[in-house]
Amino acid sequence: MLKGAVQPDSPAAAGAAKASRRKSQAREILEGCLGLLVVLVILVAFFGFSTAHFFSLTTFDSIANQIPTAVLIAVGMTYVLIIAGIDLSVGSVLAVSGGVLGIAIMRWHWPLWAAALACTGTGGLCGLINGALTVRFRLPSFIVTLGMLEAARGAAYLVTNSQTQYIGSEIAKVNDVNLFGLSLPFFLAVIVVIAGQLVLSGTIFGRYLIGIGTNEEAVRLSGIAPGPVKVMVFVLSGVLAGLAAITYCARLASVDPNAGEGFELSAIAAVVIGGTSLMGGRGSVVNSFFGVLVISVLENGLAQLGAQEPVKRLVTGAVIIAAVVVDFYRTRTRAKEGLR
Amino acid sequence: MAPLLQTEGLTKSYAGPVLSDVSFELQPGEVHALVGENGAGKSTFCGIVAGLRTPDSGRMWLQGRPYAPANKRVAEAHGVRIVLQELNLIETLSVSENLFFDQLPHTLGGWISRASLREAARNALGRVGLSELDPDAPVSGLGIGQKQLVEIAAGLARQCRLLILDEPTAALTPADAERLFLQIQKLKDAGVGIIYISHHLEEVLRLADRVSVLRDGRRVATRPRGELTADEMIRLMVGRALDDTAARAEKRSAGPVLLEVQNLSAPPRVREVSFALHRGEILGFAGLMGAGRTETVRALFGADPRQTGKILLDGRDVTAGLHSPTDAVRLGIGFLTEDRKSQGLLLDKPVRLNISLAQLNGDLRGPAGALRRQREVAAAQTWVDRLAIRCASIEQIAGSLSGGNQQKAVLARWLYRNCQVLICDEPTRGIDVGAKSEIYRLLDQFAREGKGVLVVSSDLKELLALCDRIAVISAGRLVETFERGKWTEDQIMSAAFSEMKV
Ligand SMILES: Nc1ncnc2c1ncn2[C@@H]1O[C@H](COP(=O)(O)OP(=O)(O)OP(=O)(O)O)[C@@H](O)[C@H]1O
Ligand SMILES: [Mg+2]
Repeated sequence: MLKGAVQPDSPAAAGAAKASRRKSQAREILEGCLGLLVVLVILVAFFGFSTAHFFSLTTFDSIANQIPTAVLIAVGMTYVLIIAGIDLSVGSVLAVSGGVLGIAIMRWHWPLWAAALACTGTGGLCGLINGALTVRFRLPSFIVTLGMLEAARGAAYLVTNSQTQYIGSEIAKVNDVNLFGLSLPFFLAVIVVIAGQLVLSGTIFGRYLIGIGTNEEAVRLSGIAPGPVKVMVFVLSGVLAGLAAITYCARLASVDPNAGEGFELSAIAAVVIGGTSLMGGRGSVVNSFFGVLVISVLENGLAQLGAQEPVKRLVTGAVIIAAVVVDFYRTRTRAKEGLR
Repeated sequence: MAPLLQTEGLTKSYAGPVLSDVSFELQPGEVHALVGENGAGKSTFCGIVAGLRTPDSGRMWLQGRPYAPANKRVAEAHGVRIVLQELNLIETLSVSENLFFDQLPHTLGGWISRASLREAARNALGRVGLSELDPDAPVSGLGIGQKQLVEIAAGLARQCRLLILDEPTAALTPADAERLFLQIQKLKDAGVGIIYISHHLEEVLRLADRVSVLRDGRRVATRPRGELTADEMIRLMVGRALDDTAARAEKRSAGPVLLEVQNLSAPPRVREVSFALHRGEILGFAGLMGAGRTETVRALFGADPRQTGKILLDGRDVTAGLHSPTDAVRLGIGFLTEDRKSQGLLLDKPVRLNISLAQLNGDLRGPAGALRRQREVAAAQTWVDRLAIRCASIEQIAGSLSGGNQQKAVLARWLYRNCQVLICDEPTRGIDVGAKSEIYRLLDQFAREGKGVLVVSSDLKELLALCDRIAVISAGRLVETFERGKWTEDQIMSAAFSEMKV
């Protein structure tokens, strides 16, 4: 009677179960982002009626151009937050990776693909250092990545000679590929979001993240080593910051030692608006994507309303806090029902 | 005289009804026991009385006056206190800080007065027999039994007129339980009313003046102690008589040595422990609280570092390849931890995730690291059914299950993992009588398949019922091993004391 594995059912039944399972999974994800979609629609409608040009190709273009960088970083940040960590270094890592990209193209005359590889590699290396230090010495990732935030910024100044430098048309090519007015980075970001969500909800690795963020000791005592998983997450976050650097440099056709300043905070804001818990154990990549969209729409809309920086920041801040409060009440009611 | 506590028509539902129309009465100086199966609603009822939850409907009176505590603080202001079933200590704080967390003695400026805190802590600890324990020690270093005693000490240290004890003895050794009973008697004499929840029915029969039985959220009977036997209680709890003939039908026959441990040391708690576990055998570890039983199995499992020791599986030396729980599980060793809340459960995740956790890197790993969702769902459902885990569905979050059902969920995780050696630390903590014999049956069957089980338990009766051999650990040493049929309780107890310094 005590058999270890449950035997698979008949193929037909299994197929049906699989289909319904997949449907319910899709529904789960959809339900999860429904609230955000509503907020988005409201925002768009509001700005559409209160400004003259919000519904225009320019707005659409500028949003589609801005968000890839933020989205790539937010995906990595989502993973990090799910394992109850934090990565404050992404902005600086973006800068140093971008610096390497610039050198590789201008000084070493590498082809674009090799330079791009070096760029993401640099990001991955920074992530590896973050992860290894966090795991090996059991340090809070807050501290480790705070150190990396400083150190990588310093490195960025070194590799760029503290100057903004024009890279040239080579890198701008990245943006030339166009489909319905959408650039390559945009599609890259969308693909990363989809892949990120699939990994999170459909793989063993994704489940490890949820487990580690919920109760790391229980996971360890169940025979799963949390260390390598955590290192991997920081590496991913670094690699994505490196990819983000490519999109950033492509947009400006230059490298900038001050690139990405404050990106870590706006990424955290977007991810949290998307309902990912800072306490770990819970999160969604798709929702982080919508979180980035919300912030981006808000900023563009407010700018078109003629709002100055102080007002923009006040409103953005209020939205972040409101999102977290709403999320708190939503999860609390669901917890009361004893369901997720 | 008005009863100390009276409730009428208490009703509460979550996904389904949990309490229906419960009326209950407690006199001053009375011990009123509450028994029932896992998930019958005992903790929910007590939570309402202690102000932790609000009922959907129903009324309560405390000494004749209407009583509807909005929260725990209000209940405590009325002199109603609860010692919860699950541990709620703050791991990073010291024992004394935990004991008096909500009323730390302080000076005018708000500084904690360490001396009076330590003094009060010593007093409180002395009452539960922990006078040896340093009040400044961090709670995180304590075993589960000691933690439970600290929780009890915190409850006893306060002035109150109604004390609720929710399964206080679930992880206590008999000696510690005795000490608690003494304290209960003292409180009784002082006129304090006590609601006492336990799955140890012989305890209930000894302590309680009256016993109320809950079944599926209804109070099905209340009887004075003299008019109730254990069998009668079980019949009322489960609605039928329980046949426990299955518990130990026939003798198991031990096969070749499966696991051999030589000279295992992990100072300061584990000293040169050697033993062998045979295929088809259940080996028990008995001992006093803090004797090092848990530490021994943790070191064996790779959860804590070892200093010395050789470990052989099926005669093969695996010492070099066993340094972490990951290694142990890969080698076919499973470990059910003593503290389900902090070391076992993913509390705010569904039951499904909790059951599947140890199989993620085994049976559930699909091609390219994909998760076999469908298989996971099927397995979770199978184990929920097999262990009769009471939940709305496999998607109910584990933290909202009753204590006993949480325990079943972590046990299911390891039974599903299908190991060769299963180490169980307090496997039936908080589990009701019926489910207990079902778990004994499952472990028996597990052993009969030619695998080995190692059970650590503070409940000697459990070991006596379950094990083929019982090894006694005293002050970190394995002092003696007894064979079934050749042991007496006295022999085991005196072996347990043998290494203690006097
Ligand atoms: N927050 C909640 N959400 C959903 N169901 C809940 C919640 N809290 C309790 N329940 C359900 O209420 C039922 C009764 O739980 P309760 O903890 O009172 O049982 P119990 O009698 O104390 O059992 P045990 O002996 O196992 O401790 C359980 O089936 C549990 O699943
Ligand atoms: Mg309970």
